[in-house]
Amino acid sequence: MPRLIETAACEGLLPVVLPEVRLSELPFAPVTSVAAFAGKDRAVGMALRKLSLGWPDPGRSVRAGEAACLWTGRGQAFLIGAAPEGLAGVAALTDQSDGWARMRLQGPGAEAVLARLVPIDLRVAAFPEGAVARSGLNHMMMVLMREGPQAFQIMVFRSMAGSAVHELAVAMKALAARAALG
Amino acid sequence: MEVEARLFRISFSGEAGYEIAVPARFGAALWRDLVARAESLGGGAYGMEALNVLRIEKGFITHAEIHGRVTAFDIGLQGMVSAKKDCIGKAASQRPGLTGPEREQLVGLRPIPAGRAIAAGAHLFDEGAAAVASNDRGYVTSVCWSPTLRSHLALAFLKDGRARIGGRVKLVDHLRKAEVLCEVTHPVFFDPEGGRARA
Repeated sequence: MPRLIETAACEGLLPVVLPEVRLSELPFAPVTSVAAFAGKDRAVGMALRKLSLGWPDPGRSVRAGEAACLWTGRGQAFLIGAAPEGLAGVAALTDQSDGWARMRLQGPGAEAVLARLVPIDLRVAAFPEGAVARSGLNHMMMVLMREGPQAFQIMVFRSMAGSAVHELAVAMKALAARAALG
Repeated sequence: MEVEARLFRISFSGEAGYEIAVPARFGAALWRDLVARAESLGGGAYGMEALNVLRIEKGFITHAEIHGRVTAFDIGLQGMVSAKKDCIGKAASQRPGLTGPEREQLVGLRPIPAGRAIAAGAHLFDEGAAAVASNDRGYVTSVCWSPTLRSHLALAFLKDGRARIGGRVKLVDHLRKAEVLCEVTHPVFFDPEGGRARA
């Protein structure tokens, strides 16, 4: 059986690089949605701690190296970058790895770019490092996480990759053009 | 490296066929591989238009037919609703007005002559009846030109359709100002025994 060549979600679309901000695709990583079965919250927490993670608080994440557990809704989290070991039988698990396009937006201009597309307060005081929101990226459903002072992880449905990159690139270019006018 | 996949023995074309699902990141590569193999055997990729012709020839319905106001009885699948067991929708399906000769039932249509074009959306009237709303007997949902049967074909809903198979009906397209006499047929025009899918 020949090896099948993978096509990245944002194949051919990224990176988009401008003076103050850069949009790039994150390497492929497993994404599993996790929801504890009734009465199994503690068991789920213990299994995640064995992965050096834990169950995230609402609007937050728990990160360890390349792996992270992101709050994505009431009683639900996404486990990213690690296989869901120890969770079978105590949580409802759905492999969503190929359902998402995952990008990083970074640079001094990142917050200003997102301000044009995302209807929530993303300033660091309201949206600190590790914070997670499910919001809209100009009408697309998005999972957003602040990775650092000037870095965000953006997840949209894989089928929306082209639209998302386009919307972000337009905002990035508009801000760059404004800055160039002085 | 093994890629997890799901294989389904399903045919919407009516030919022996399979549907294969792989994680999305392998989709493009699997497509290229399968098309190359098909071409090496003298075949190749075919598109949605061709598939639509094949499925109309087979009387396989889509959302054009199951559009939200259609029941199992209407499409001739009332036999698939268990006579013995209760099920969701069963009581409602037996209400007055949801079965019987007044229902618009799925039929096939062939224009006379076979080369006359017909359009989906056209309405159906008895021969000799004026093409007005009060005489409306049904409507056309899907049409195609069948190169295999050398005829235009249509799927349609016709009042008391199954009892009218073998007869004729007048198809009137008020939008395109066309009127075509049609033969009412069983909705499966080709390979009614289904042998092709089991080849």
